[in-house]
Amino acid sequence: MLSSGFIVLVAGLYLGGLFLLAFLTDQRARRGAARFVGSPVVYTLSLAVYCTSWTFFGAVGSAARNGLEYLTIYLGPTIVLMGWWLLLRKLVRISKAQRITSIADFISARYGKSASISALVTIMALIGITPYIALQLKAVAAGFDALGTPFDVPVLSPERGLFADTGFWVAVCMAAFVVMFGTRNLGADERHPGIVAAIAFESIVKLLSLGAIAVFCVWGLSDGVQDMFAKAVANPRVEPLFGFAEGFEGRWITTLFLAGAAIVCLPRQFQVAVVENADERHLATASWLFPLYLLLISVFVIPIAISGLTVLPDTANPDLFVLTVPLSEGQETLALIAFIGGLSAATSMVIVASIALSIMISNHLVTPLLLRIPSFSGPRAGDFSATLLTIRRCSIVAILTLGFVYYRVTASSNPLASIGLISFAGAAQFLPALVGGIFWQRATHKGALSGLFAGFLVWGYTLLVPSFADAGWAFNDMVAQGPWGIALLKPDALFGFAGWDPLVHGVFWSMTINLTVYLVVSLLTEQSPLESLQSALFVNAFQRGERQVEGVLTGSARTEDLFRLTQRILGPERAFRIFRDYAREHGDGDELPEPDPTLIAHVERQLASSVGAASARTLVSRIVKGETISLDAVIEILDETQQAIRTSRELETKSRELAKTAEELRQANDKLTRLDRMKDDFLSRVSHELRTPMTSIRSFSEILADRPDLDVAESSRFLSIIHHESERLTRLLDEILDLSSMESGQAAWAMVPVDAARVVREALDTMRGLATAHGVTLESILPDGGAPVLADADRLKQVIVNLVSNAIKYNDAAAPAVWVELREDAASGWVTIAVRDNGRGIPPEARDALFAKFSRGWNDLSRARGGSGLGLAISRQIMQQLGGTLEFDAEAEETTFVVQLRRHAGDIAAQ
Amino acid sequence: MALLAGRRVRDAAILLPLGAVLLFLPPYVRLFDRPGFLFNIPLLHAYIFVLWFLGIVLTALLARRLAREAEEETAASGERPPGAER
Repeated sequence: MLSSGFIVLVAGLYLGGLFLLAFLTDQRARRGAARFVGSPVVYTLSLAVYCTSWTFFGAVGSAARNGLEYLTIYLGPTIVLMGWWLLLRKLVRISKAQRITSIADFISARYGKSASISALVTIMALIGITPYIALQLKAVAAGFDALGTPFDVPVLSPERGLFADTGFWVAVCMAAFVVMFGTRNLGADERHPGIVAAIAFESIVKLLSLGAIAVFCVWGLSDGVQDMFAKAVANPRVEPLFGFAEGFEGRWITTLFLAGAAIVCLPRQFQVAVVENADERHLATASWLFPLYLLLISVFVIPIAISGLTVLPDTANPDLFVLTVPLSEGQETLALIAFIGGLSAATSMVIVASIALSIMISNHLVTPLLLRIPSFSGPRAGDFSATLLTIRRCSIVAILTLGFVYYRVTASSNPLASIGLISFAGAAQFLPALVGGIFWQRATHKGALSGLFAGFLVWGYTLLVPSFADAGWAFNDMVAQGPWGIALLKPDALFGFAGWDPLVHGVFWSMTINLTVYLVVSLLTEQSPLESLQSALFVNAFQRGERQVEGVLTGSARTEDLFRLTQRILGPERAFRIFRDYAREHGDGDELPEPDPTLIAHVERQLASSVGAASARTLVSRIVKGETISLDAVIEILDETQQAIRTSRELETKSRELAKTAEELRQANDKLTRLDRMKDDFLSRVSHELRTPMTSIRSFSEILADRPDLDVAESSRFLSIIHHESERLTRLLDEILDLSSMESGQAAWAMVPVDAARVVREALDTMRGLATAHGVTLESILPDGGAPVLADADRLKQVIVNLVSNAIKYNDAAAPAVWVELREDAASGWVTIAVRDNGRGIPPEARDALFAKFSRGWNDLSRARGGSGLGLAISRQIMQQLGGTLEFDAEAEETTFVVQLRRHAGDIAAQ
Repeated sequence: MALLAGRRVRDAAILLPLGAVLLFLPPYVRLFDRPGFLFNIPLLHAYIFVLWFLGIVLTALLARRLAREAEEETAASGERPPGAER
């Protein structure tokens, strides 16, 4: 048996060493040398403040009583850490941008820097965490008592005086310790490198200590894992540990949810995970390292629980197995190590929780009240930072006092785990407002406030009140019969939901009512401009730069007033540094910076890092004149995301349209270029064509003019040449005019029903002379009856003549022949005239340009035979005008041109 | 794992915790609530702890990819990483 004095000495040395570690770290950090505190491993270990004495002592107790349910307490945070990318990363990002100091500050800042929300959250946290702190006191006190007494004596203390109660001394020691620890100075922001280092160290102590006992249980008390489980299976007391009890589901899901919520919602967890986070990238490491820590702790619990159940008598308190198992085997050193581990777990929790709570109390409860007192809030009031420190010290004492009172009045009847879960359920009430606030932009201040309040009331009624009644301290009648005897409102069977596990019952009602009120009220109410701004900043935390925010608040203030205010709240040294850095950054040199909205926003953020968003808002708005939130700017930020989506969509459509237009333009341009080339071509050809006859006319007329002595026969021959050439010129000009009039659609023709066969016959008659002259056989295949079409007979004849004359003139076959065939297709209603010859044909590359003007270049014969090169162009134009077609039949073996016209139904006019 | 790119990594980061929730909820944990031993460890304990450990390994692999991803993002946008402002 260890003497009390010895235990106190060891504990005192341990805590002293801890203090020294924190002190030295702070010293080094101030010189910028404490690099290790900024490492992801230290960050992860600081998260392990989650494992309090509830874990250290209580998890074994819980495992012994309820089997594997204790695992949910560690699985919940594991899952949340696995999802760090979704939730924790966003919380950290927002907190850095907004200089958040606590969870109350975070929620209040999201809902328009509301002082009422931060006050409510603070009160809720204070009440919710009190049982949790009581739990730590109870665990350490019970541990201390257990270590100092023989193991088989029940350690539950009967009524003891205040000073005889170990818990009292534990509370006093812890209060003194935390006051010295946490409030020595008001840091640059709410970061405490010394404390982070201390709790990281304590996390290692906890793990090693629990691990040592587990190892002792497996290899000291049993002969390895196999032997341990073999012994355990034989013992009926261990049975709950190997399976699930009937109906475990409700509690399993509930505790899993609560633990997951607790890792972000508990004020101390928010403090270490979010506020003290030095680098967002640390989360990536913590996302797997912290679950690994929890996994190890959970594994260690099992052998200790098994050993406790197999080695110790039924009467032993399972919550103290960690101590009593080694004690029962006479391992006093190991028991002392276990006690130090438990002490570590308890002190780290109490330190961080009470610091987090004291920050909340001083920033959100006391400061807003003090600001109402003129002597504190006037611009010329004294230094505020000393006041702030005093408030925090008093808050810490008050928090521990409350915890101690709870511990005294509820005695020590409840198992550790059940006390802790009540606190978890209280903290979980923050979840809707917290998570809703960063994902749902529509959520309003009134919605959050009423949801929090409703959830808190129901939590107090369904969970806290029955715990008081259980302890026999208050509300006995209310819990037994319901308020005013209304059984339907009984705290543990609300609305007649009896027979549920009390925890499941309380969590179910408080969370559903909290969430419903939050959602419904948010939908029914509107946001103020500041709220809209903040909600946009929170929800779109990853999508904006900080500079867009500034300039939203417009107003004017004197730089001197801003400086004096900063000096009062943050102290002269820091105020000086803030303004100097700002001036340098904005290129003002050593001058005082201009009091523009950017400076005002900057000052407000700096103040917020010390007194919280709501109080900073109040302070700044006191000295800023004519402050308004530019609604346009707010709307702009609000719409930013949608705007971006809309703009990008519009851009996409625009660019698609542009691409289409560009393509059309390109095609049009190609066409124009082609037309232009054709026009140039045409002009050059026309001038060329005109030039030949002109030249001969000019030269012959010159001869005639110069030589009057020319004989008559000679001169008349020259004159006839001049005449012939002029005729050719006239004909060419006529054709050009003809073509252009047709192309412009000016030609007025007599469209009458005519017999196409007769027109063909007439055309062939005209051509017979030419055919004979060229030695070409001209044959025709015409139907007996007429082929009536609607056309201008002369024009149609012109086309046929042109085609036949081409066929005759350019036919260089040995036995040249031309065939003209007229067919009538009754079914389709077309009259087809085909002109065929056995000449050399038209080369494929020339076919495209066949119907273009002056396009006879493929055939060197053409020039020699005096064609104008316009014949086919004119013919095609005529056929188009007549409503028919003229095509070159590329399929046919011989050179074939095909003319088609619609058959006319009516009579043929007399010709 | 190296083939996972951008968006897929981020989707996996969201799906992983959801999958973990599912597998740790009653219908699944209950599946293994039966007598029997695996490597000298009761079946139920083995299921939970092996699953837990697998989840940690997957998270670690994903976290490395996500961290690199975020680094590239900040490098691309030219801003300082949010943690480095002190």
